[in-house]
Amino acid sequence: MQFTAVLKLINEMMDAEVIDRYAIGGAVGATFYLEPIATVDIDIFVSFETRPGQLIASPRPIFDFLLGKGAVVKGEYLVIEGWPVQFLPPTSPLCHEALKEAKEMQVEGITTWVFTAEHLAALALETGRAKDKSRLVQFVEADILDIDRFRSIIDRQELSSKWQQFQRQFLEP
Amino acid sequence: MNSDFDSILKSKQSLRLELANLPIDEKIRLLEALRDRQLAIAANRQQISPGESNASGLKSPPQD
Repeated sequence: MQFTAVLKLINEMMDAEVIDRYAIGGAVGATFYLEPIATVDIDIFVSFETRPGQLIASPRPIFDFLLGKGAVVKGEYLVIEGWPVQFLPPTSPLCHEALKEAKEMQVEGITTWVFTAEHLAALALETGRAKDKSRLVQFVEADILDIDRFRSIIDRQELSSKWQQFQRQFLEP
Repeated sequence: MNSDFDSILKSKQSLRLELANLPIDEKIRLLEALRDRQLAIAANRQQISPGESNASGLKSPPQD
C-alpha cells in the first residue's frame, strides 16, 4: 500500500526531529471515520517551528528531508510514493487544538495521528465551503460524533452560532 | 416521495454505513483505488481539452 509508505516516511521525519508532531486531516482524515472519500491528495498538518533568528516558520526542512528521500515537488504538493501530500500549518486556534489532540491510529501496523472526528467536524463547520458542509452532514448522519465533545469544541472556538445556522439550514426538516 | 424512492435512500445509507464500518486498512485500499480512478479520469479529460489544468499541475476534477 502506497499510503503506508507515505506514513513511514513522515514518521521517519518525525523521528529525525524535522517535525515535532503531525496529524492527518482533510478527506483522508475523514475516511478514518466515514466511508472512503474520493481525494487525490493527503493533507498533513504540522507545526512549523521557527529557528533562531527567523520570524516566520518555514517548511524548508520538511522539503529538504523529503526531497532527499525521493519525493518530488509538483505545484504546491510534495509527491511521495505516488501520493500528492500537502504539509499545512495550523491556521486557526481550532486547527492548533485539533493537532494537539490528534488521535493515535494504526494503518497496517504503522502508527499515525489523525484529527478526531469531532475536530474534523468542527473544522468543516469553521471552513464552511460546500464540500465541508456536505462532510459535516455525513458526520452527523453517521452518528459517530461524541456530541458533548463536539459542542464543547464549538463553544470554546466560538462556532456555536455557525452551528445553529448550519442545523437550521441542513439538519432541521 | 414514493416508497420505492424511500427504499433506495435507505439502501444507500446502509451501504455508506457498511463502508464506514470497514477496517481502516480496507478503507485506505478503497481510497487508493478511488484516487487512481480520479487521476485516470483527470488525465483523459486533459487529453480532451489540453491546457486546462489546475495550479498544482495535477489536473484533478473538483474534490478535496
